[in-house]
Amino acid sequence: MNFTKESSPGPDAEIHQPTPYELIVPPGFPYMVIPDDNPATVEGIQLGRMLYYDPIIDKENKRACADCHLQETSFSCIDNCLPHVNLAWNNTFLWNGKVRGVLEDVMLFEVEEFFKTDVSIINAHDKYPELFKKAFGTDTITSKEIAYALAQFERTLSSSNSKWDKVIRGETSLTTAESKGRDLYYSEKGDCFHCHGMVLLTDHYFHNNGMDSIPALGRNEITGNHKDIGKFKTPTLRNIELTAPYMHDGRYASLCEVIDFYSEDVKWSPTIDPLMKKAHKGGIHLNEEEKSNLLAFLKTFTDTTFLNNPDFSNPFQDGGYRAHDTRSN
Amino acid sequence: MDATDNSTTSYTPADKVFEGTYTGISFVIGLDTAKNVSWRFLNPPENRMEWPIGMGGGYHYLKLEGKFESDARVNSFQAHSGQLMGIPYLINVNLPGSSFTVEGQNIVVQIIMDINKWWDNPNTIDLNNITSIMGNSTIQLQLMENGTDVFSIGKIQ
Repeated sequence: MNFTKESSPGPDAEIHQPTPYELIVPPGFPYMVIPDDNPATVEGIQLGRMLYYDPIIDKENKRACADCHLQETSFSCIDNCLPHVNLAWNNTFLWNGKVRGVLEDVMLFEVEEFFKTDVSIINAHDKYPELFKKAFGTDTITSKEIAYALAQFERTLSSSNSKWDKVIRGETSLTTAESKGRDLYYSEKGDCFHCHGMVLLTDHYFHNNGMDSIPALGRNEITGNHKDIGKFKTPTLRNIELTAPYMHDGRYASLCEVIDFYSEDVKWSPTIDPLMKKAHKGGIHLNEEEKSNLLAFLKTFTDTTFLNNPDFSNPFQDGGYRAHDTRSN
Repeated sequence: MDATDNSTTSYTPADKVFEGTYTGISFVIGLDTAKNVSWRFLNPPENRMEWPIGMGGGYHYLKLEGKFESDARVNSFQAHSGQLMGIPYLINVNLPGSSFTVEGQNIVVQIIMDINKWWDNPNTIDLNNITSIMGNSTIQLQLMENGTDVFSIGKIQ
């Protein structure tokens, strides 16, 4: 793989050869879409990881991605933003699916519209230009390269070693309570699996799950289709016990509250998903033992390997020092 | 086929059709039992059709979901057919009036599904009284039998 300086195509032009990095697709997972113009490289991933933890990305210089998206909570945040786990398999992003495409697309949105990154600051940095040069062969850093670096790092945030994964691989077994919870999860009574199925524990679709009789617009804000009122993206349940609060507006502080909602507090609205077949009765009406078993099974989606992976952690030495801090306090 | 995605509602066979006269079109909704096993399909859209291992594993044949009105109240339904506990409920369809002749030209066949016909003939399925379809072998059989006249030819040209 060669990158050449655009301004110096002659025989003396430097050849930049980022080190290819092989992204491993876990067994049983779908194919991973990797754009041809942003293959995974060691330099790109390292640069993306640095940017993820550096508030330089914020125009106001106040926060990095990781200031809200904490690894110990599966890169979720207290503002109920969707967790940054297994995003490599997404084709829509954000609760209402505002961004469609691949990671590069949503990272560009974050850089340009959320953080409003001042690229001049990064271009003037004493370290980043060199790192971008090594990763992308560019002399000038734009929003695109920043987004591409972040996308490379995000693509590595893969979770596939929870207890549930180990059970599937035959490496361990569930407890009695967890087994009963699993059976409920994959039954027509609990019916969690139709939305939260497959290895990704999300169908990537948008559903109105009956939170309100007059629901928020949700997906309708993007499509303008009245049938999409109240529909929000199905979040993954990976590491779900750690990603509180829950739902698009963070109204539930605990998984117990979520289970109680599905059990007794579902509300009918015209666009409620047909999968919520007990909506007129308020929900699936679980007894206390069923709720406890379901909770036990949901906790088997926790992947401590992911939560403690040093490759995803803060790359700066003391957790606060930046490669060169040009900020004024 | 995903009814919400128009790009999936047409199908062109990989093999060309030989010239000649064909007496009719038929197809089967379902999956060969030997191949209908869990983890066979890892990629979308097929992976979204997974059928729980606790119900026999494999994949759904059909997911039909929507709403119906009864006694002035709108209700939801989800009719999912598949291989329940290892028993295949394959839906065999023979399209009436589907003969056609190929003489070197391309043929376009439009097939129409009448959703309402899933609930009767020969079996009446009252969605008001159904609490389970996927795990109910009786209803799986009824859906299979009802499916024979759900489809018709819109046009062949």
